[in-house]
Amino acid sequence: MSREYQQWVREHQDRAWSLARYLLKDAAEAEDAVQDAFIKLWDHRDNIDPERVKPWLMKVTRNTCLDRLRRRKPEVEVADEQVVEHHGPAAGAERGELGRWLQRAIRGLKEPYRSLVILRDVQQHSYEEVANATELSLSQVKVYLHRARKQLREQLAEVRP
Amino acid sequence: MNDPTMNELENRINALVDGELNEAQAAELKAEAEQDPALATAIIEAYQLRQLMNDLPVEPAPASLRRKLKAIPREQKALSRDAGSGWLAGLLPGGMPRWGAAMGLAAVPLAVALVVTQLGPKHPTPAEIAQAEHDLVVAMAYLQKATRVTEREIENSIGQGFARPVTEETARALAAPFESEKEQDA
Amino acid sequence: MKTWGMKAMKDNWMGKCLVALAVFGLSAPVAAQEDELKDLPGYVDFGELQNFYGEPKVMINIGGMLLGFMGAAAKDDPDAAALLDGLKGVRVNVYATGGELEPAMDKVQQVKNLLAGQAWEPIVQVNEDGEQVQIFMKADDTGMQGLTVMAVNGEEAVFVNILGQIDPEKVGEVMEKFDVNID
Repeated sequence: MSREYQQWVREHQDRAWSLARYLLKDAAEAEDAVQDAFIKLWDHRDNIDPERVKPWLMKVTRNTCLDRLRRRKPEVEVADEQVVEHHGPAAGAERGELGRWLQRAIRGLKEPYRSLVILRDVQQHSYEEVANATELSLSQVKVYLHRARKQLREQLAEVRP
Repeated sequence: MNDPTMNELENRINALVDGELNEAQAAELKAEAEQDPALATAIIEAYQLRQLMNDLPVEPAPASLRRKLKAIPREQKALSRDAGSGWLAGLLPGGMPRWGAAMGLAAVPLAVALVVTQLGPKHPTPAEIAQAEHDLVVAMAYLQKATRVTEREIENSIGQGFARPVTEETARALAAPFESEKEQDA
Repeated sequence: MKTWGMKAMKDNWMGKCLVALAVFGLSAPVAAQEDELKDLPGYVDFGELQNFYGEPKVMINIGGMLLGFMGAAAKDDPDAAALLDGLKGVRVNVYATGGELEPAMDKVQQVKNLLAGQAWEPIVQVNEDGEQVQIFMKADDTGMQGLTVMAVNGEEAVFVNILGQIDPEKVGEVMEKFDVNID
């Protein structure tokens, strides 16, 4: 079982880390959140369908991150994470700069839009996996994702040369 | 996006970008876009956004995290051996003691620390108690807020002379719940 | 996004404990606390609203064990100790409605139907356009078992479930010591 767990770690650690980094501003906190999620994976390893480990892990990682954000709200305003910088990349900016702007814009989306964009458009999970990970219906995933993409498109239109 | 026509259009743009439209549907949308510059712009922007998101670099998990994840089976097995009664696992889902252990070494408010010390280890950490106390204040604030709304509405509908805070009303009901029931019946 | 914030906390037992929170930035696992309360007679299942409104902006679950500790820690503050005495659990879910009232109003109606079948008594009901407040209480021969408050308006949907006994007058006395702003 430990060997199977190590295989899951190799397959999913980057995705879980990427998700946590988008959801949590602080890298150390993201590291803790991913570690918590994998501890839960280890604890529940006997009850998880091996075919569904990926969405299960994404769901737990996301919930762990959101839980941390929720707890942090009363003491630390998370305004930095909610505010999208509208002064986008300068005209003729390189693609890397646009990418960094987009990362900030995604981080500025509200939940569940942010998670949906990360899971579906950045990490390219299937719609079914995204629905599973976010505990939303397939139609809700699509509706919310469309709204999120529209927001991003409108912001992108403002900053593109 | 509450306009049904706009919703429909947005669905089609997304379906196009997601590759979910068949050839005929895609051709139809593109034909419409040729007549509608705004639609054409929206489709182009959707493709550009998709491309940008595809191109976002994936940051690999740092080496420190990889080491921690790899060590989880070994650490968890050791923990379950050491835990004996398993109280920690019961308190913390996942049996995760990292910060719990660190907590014991740190300075905490005296009152809380004393209570925890006196009552032994099978109990919440000072930080958990502190969080719960903080949460309780917030919970009570929401309770009060609801009572303020109720009081205001009673004032508006009955008049100020009859208005009483719902806390008062509820307190009376708590003191004699069955008397309260009789009054309601009457 | 509208969030609540806490103004300057006066020097008292809860204020001191907040120092610990600020130092450690940690909290009790919410799910574990929720599970602990589910078997109590005053527990109310509010169901889920996050599919409509996203994650709740406030989610609180405090179980009996933590309340017991808080009561012990508050022994020098009679008002706080009196408030905590008899409390078995406190749960709060708050969602930002953003003007979309229908899902929350539907949920309130569902919960009202649920409570009607579980011997809860309505204490206060306010039904106005755009605002609704419902307060229910459950009691038996031994006293109060729970209090449920549901309040919905254009800004937020608040669901509060107090398990065990609470003296609402004590709430006011304790809260006078805090400058808490959730508006």
